[in-house]
Amino acid sequence: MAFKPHSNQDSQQELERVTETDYLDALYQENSRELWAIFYSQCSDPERAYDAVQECFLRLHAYTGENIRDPRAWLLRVGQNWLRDVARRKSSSCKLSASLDELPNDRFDAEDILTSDENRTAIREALQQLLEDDRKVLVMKYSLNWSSIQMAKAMICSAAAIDMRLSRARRRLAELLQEQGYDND
Amino acid sequence: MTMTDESKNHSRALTDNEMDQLLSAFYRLEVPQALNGLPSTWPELQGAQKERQKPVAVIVAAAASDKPAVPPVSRGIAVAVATLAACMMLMVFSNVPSGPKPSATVNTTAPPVAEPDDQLMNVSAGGTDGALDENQTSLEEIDQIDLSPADDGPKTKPAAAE
Repeated sequence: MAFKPHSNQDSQQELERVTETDYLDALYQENSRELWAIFYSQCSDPERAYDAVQECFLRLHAYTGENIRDPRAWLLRVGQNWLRDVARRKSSSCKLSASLDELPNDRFDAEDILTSDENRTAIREALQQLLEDDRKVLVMKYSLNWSSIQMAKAMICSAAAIDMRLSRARRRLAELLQEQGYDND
Repeated sequence: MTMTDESKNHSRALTDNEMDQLLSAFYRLEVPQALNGLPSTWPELQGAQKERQKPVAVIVAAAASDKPAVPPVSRGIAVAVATLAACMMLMVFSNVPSGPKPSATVNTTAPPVAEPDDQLMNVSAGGTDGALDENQTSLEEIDQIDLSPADDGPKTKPAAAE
């Protein structure tokens, strides 16, 4: 019985497959956190923001068009479009159904407060009442730990404008949370 | 803990520092764990990759050979070219005019050229001894026709050139 040597074509396909996966993983490691933060600032829903991240990477994997010059911008656009489509399909209302249970005067423990799902939901809903740019600076600051200069570059404005917006957003959020009301007996 | 209208008036807003702490903790907890998983671990991509994989049989070369293996596509093309060349040669040879022996094909456009060795076709049904016409003229008599007559006798056509 004659044996044929291993085909070079199979090795090449295997190599291409491995290379494509590595590239996708590398791109994901570099951009996923930021993409999630931006999508989250749009929808204030962490799971939906993650779905948007996954969706844009899956579409990138399936993409067979021309070479993409700026993958990050492409992913951002695809994810944002997807979020818009989802939002249109499920029009979710932003009612403040939950309220903060407790904000102790003497000792403030953020972790304690956030163990409650209701409190987290209340903060999410309060965030939805802010302007989108306000949400963006909050997520860039507190989720990505970006400096004012980095945020200024992303928002195409000055660092001073970023600081002002950040301060205003924080204050407005605090007011909204206060309107939820609490009482310490 | 109760919520009353009076209590709302006495509630205080969170300080900047408290908001800092709250938002830092909040956004840290908001990030889903699944975000840490690379695309190569996603079931959707793993399924797509499996579909693209061809079943690869484990094959081993029987003997080391210095010659590189000829891809099957090239081999197929070579066989096709060789077959085509053979067909063309067959067509060419089949159309070449016949040599000394008569060919099997019948050429109706030009009359066959009679060769000295060929058996001549009889002009008359009776063969060489038979009469050619009602005057009982025979081939033998035609053969002795004088081609350069001296008188004004009837002129006859010379015999067909050999």
